[in-house]
Amino acid sequence: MCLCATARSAQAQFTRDLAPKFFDAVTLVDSIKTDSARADSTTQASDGQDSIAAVPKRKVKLLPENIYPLTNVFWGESGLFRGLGWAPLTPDARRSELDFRRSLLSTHQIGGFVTWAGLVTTLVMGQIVLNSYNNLDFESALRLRPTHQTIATATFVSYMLTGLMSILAPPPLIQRSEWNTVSTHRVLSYFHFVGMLVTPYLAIRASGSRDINEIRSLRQAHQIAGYATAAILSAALIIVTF
Amino acid sequence: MMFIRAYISMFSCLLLIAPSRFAAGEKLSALKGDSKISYELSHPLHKVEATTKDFTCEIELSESKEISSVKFSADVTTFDSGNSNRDSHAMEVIDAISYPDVAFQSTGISADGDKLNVTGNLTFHGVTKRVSFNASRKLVDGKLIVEGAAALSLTEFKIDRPALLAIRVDDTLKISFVMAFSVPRN
Repeated sequence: MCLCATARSAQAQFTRDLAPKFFDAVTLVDSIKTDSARADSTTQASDGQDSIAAVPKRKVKLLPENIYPLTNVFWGESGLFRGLGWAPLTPDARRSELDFRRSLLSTHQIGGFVTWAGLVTTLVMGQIVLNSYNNLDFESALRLRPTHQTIATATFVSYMLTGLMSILAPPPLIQRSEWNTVSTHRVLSYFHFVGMLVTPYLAIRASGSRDINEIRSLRQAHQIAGYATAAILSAALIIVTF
Repeated sequence: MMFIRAYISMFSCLLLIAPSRFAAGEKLSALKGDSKISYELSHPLHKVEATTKDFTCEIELSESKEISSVKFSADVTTFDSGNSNRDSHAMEVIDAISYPDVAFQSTGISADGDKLNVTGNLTFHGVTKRVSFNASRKLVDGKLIVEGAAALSLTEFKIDRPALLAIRVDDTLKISFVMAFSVPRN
């Protein structure tokens, strides 16, 4: 019993006092090997002073593994812009491409808010015009309708230009196969794009019709499409902030 | 009784033999699956945390069996925040094409029991600066685990802070790490 206690005490002492030193000195069994090539690519540090590292020899993959099909058409390794010689696939050119991408996406952000504001204004104006028609106040309806149409046209142009900036943007440096907020933003864009086409189409159809029942149905569909498009566009805007 | 006696003699032999088995200047490399390094950036709208397990970290042991130096290197493009669009933006601001690696080489390590204070040169975004941080070590499931954290200033490393909706992220880049090193099977 006494020996047992001694053994336990010795084991406890080893665990408490000696084990850290012991394990500091152990050999490595399953560890990974140091990638000397990678380590060599960094600059030797100066003693406490800031220094600028030399450009490493290791090459970085210039294009992501996953690239959207449409982006690939323009900016892929054998894309249109590469083939035309406008965008050679070199580190310097790619750095400029990424700057261009950032400019396009920043403008896309601003364009998104401008388009959203335009769409909300169009909705408000459209609702006023629709209320005027429903109240048989044709004078107000006919007076306000051109304003509604003008704002709607400006919003449509702003929307298309904003979308084009995203579509034509060069690919990012990293694009993993994953679902993220930008993926949701992108999926929502398919829906609000359809909404942006269907809404004015219904309005044009209503303007060209001579059948009062058809006009009323088309106006209602136009109204629903407009609200739905605004809701989807709002969701697409909010989602990217997460 | 015989079993106990054998146990004690084996244990004593182990204590006597173990230090002599390992030469000073021996290097241990971090276990890839169990080690990780993360950075955290704060923005008024949300926090971003990105992690990588794809790096090399090597410690060297002194004659007194203490950790005498640390060398670390990681490919910055391997940090994953769960949103590659955000990671790509981060790579743009740190110019990952020109500076694809972040590297650290210790210049001094002081130990107080299981607490460590590490000083060394960190090269990030092509700028090398002396940094100092605290770490701790412990033994878990037969592995030596070294954990620690450091805070860096993006401005000091000449990094233009990224912005979301025209609001820039905080200047502080919080780094945390867990390094695991294997121990021998006796």
